[in-house]
Amino acid sequence: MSTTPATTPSDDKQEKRLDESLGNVKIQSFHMKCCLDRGKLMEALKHASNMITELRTNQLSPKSYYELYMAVCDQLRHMEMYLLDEFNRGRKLADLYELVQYAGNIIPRLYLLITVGLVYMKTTPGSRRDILKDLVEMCRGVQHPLRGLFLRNYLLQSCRNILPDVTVEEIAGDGDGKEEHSGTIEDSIEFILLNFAEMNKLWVRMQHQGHTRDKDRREKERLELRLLVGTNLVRLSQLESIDIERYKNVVLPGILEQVVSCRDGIAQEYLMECLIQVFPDEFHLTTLQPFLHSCAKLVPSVNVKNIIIALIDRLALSKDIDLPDDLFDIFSSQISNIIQSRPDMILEDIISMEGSLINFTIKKINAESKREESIDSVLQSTLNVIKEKCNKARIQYRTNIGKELLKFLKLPITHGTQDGQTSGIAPIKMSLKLKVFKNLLKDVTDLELQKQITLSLLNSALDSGIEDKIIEENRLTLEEIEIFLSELCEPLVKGAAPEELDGMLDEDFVDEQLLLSRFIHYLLSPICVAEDDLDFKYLIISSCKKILAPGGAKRVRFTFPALVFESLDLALKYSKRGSEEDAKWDKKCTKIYQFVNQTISALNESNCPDICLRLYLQAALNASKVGLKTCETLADEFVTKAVSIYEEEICETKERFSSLILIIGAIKEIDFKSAELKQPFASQMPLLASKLIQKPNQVRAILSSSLLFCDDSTISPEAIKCIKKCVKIASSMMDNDLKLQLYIEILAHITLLVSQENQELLEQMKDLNEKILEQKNEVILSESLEKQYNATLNFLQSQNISLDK
Amino acid sequence: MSKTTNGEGPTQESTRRLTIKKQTLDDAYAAPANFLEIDVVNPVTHGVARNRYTDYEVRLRTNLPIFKLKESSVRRRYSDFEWLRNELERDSKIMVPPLPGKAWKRLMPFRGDDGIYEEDFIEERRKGLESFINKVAGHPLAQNEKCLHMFLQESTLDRNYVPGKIRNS
Repeated sequence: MSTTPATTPSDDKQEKRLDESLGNVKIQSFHMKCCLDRGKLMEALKHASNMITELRTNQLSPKSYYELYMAVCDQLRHMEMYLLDEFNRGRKLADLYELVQYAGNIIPRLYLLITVGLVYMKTTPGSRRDILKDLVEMCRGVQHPLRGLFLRNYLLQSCRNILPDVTVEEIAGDGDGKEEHSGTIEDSIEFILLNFAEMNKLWVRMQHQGHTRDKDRREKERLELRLLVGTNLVRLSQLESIDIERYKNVVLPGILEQVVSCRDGIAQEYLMECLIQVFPDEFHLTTLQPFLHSCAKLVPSVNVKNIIIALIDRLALSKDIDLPDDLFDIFSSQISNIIQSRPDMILEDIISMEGSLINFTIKKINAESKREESIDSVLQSTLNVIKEKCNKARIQYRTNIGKELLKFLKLPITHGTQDGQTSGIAPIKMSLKLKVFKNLLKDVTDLELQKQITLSLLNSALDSGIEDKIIEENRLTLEEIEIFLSELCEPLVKGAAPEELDGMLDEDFVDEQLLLSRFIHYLLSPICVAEDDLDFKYLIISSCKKILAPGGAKRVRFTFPALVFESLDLALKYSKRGSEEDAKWDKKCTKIYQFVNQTISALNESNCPDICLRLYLQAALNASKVGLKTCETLADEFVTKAVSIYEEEICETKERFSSLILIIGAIKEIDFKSAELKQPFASQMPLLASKLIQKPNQVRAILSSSLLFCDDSTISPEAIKCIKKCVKIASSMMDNDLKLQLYIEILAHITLLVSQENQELLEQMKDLNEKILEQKNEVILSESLEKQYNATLNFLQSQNISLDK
Repeated sequence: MSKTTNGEGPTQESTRRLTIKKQTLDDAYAAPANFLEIDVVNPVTHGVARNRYTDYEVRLRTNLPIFKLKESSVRRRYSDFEWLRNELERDSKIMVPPLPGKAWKRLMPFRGDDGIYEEDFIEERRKGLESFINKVAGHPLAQNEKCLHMFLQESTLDRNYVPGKIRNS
């Protein structure tokens, strides 16, 4: 059964107690001010003491206590002002300083002592050294953590403007030779260091107060109070006479001594970070060794990583100072020191610490080769640590370590590149330049994590696109391309492809493969290869094929088409050069077509006949344009392959129709000069068309193929035969709507041919029109059909062709 | 009120203090040497009808050398606390604090509720017992009594024990 500890006052009670105390402060301070107005100092001190007595409570939480403390401090300012006036009226402060020591209770006594002491020091500079020392010693009288911390905070705040900030030499320089001076920087340092040590002690001790079960709440309260302790360090940093030497020899050792000996995680972590934040970069640079050395000595619960990262980041951002050349080496060796001395440190923390080191090299090492060398050395030591700690297990992407490692690996490739290029080809180039990078991927990460890196490299390249500024040094060599594709892209290029579900491939898999195919185009863009270096492009393409082919049917389906298109583009470019520029251009083109042919055949293993058919037709069209002697033979060969795929592998009705239309279109476009090549195709098409399953498709395909028998000057009888056949098929339709639609389509088709006079064709048209008119009586035409029909008639009229019998 | 004596300024006079020994760092940051924490928790009601009673777990943690065990846990009922209080009253020289009340009214028959077995009552009594035992066990003189140690650290309470003192060795 859990119980609420009696020592935790509820919020309501807190508020009530605070209100009561604040009320008393108000009353007492009112009386105090009245007495001061009437010049009754003794009475006023009595009321001040009563007011301060409220701070004796142990019923308030730190937050409420702070509020009360602020109220009391405000009122004590009045006392201070009055005392300053009193001094001017001739009152001896030494007497007063002694007088307030008769206050009965220690809390009011010390607050008043500080208040009077402050006025004393302000008015009598010669007293400073003794009073400062006395006050900071006297405050030892309060050992209750919360009360002590606030008392000492009052001391520190009160004295902030009168701390001596001059050196002995400066005083001697003034030359008045007085033995009794008003203190030097050494006095201030001693004062603050002692106050700091005492406050830290109280703060650390707070954890032992109260019941163990309230520990969490106490830790939270302690964190709320950390600023009180840290203010000492801030005050030190504001003293201008503290130079590097004093910092190194007195201040820092004094602070580190307390930090290390207190053996308390909360205090150590906060104070170390505080040190980093409050003192200037130059100071840190001169004291790296002792500072980092102390880091290694902190208790295990301290997250040293945060401290190291804060320090490195701070120096990485420094602008105005020259960093020593060996700074990287110091950090590097101290970090491995810390890793060694803290065997329990978790891997995430080690990785993020190494990451900040990479961050440092990126920001502060300007020489490129040195920077890469440094990054490589960080990668290497990280690799070693991971190997040692993971014991051959690979780091899984879906763990915290995995996420940290991913972040770490992205650092050098996205920010470490030349000219701060964070996108485009630069990250890829960087990933190849760093020798250890791919080892990290291959040796200690799981496939998923590797894939994330691959994807981020590809995406950063593709996102900036081919419009990016061209930087020739960043282009990859053939060897680099091969390494990149085969090793860094391994997760996309190799391995078992996912099983198909209901004939559908995994969506992510498809996206990845499409990304890869886009990247192939990117590799052949001007970003990666000079526009006129065609031979190199060919090498890239054939390398890609070699690397991608083992990926299996499911992958090449997405990547090979890119290779085919790039090859065909290359062939066109060679042909534009012609023999004057490149004596071997024709041989090279022929080789490309062989390559294209092989690639499409290989692709055909992937069970994607529709893609292969289109690629063959594309190849045929392309070959017909390059002006090789053999171009018609090549085109013929490609079309033949397309047709054979059509006959053997395309089964689906719709796909068959659209494929056939594509074949017919391609043959028409290629426009074979040699009748020997053209004739067989031309006569084959109507036959294939009439084998289509649906009659409307038969009609449309036969109509298309009729164009193969016509050219600008002749309409061969075969064309007329085709049209007749179409009319016959249409007539045999049962569905009158469809029949009429087909008639209108046929009539519209014939208008393509009417530029040449042909009596037989005219007869056909007249017959057809008669049939249309006849059907129109029975069927209501749809709006679009009506439109098409009228357009046809209008066109014929404009050609002066009459369909009247 | 002091007067300025010759040769010394006013400051020296009003800040003249006893010299104290400097605290070592180890002392400054050492954990307290008098840690003692006793929780009274987990009340359980056993038995039925006349044999019904409630007992509590008394759990102790300490670093005081006088305790044989640094951590211990025993189960005690209200009458055991009464016994301890009587022993201390008789043998030790301390003012023994009172126990939470006997709740006579709750022992009356024909009540509508569960009497002393009501949850709220048990919780209230638990708090009272916890505060009682912490006060008692924290007292240096009580810490010398054999009965206290038996009460806190022996699993069964031997009421026929020989009373005596324990010396801190």
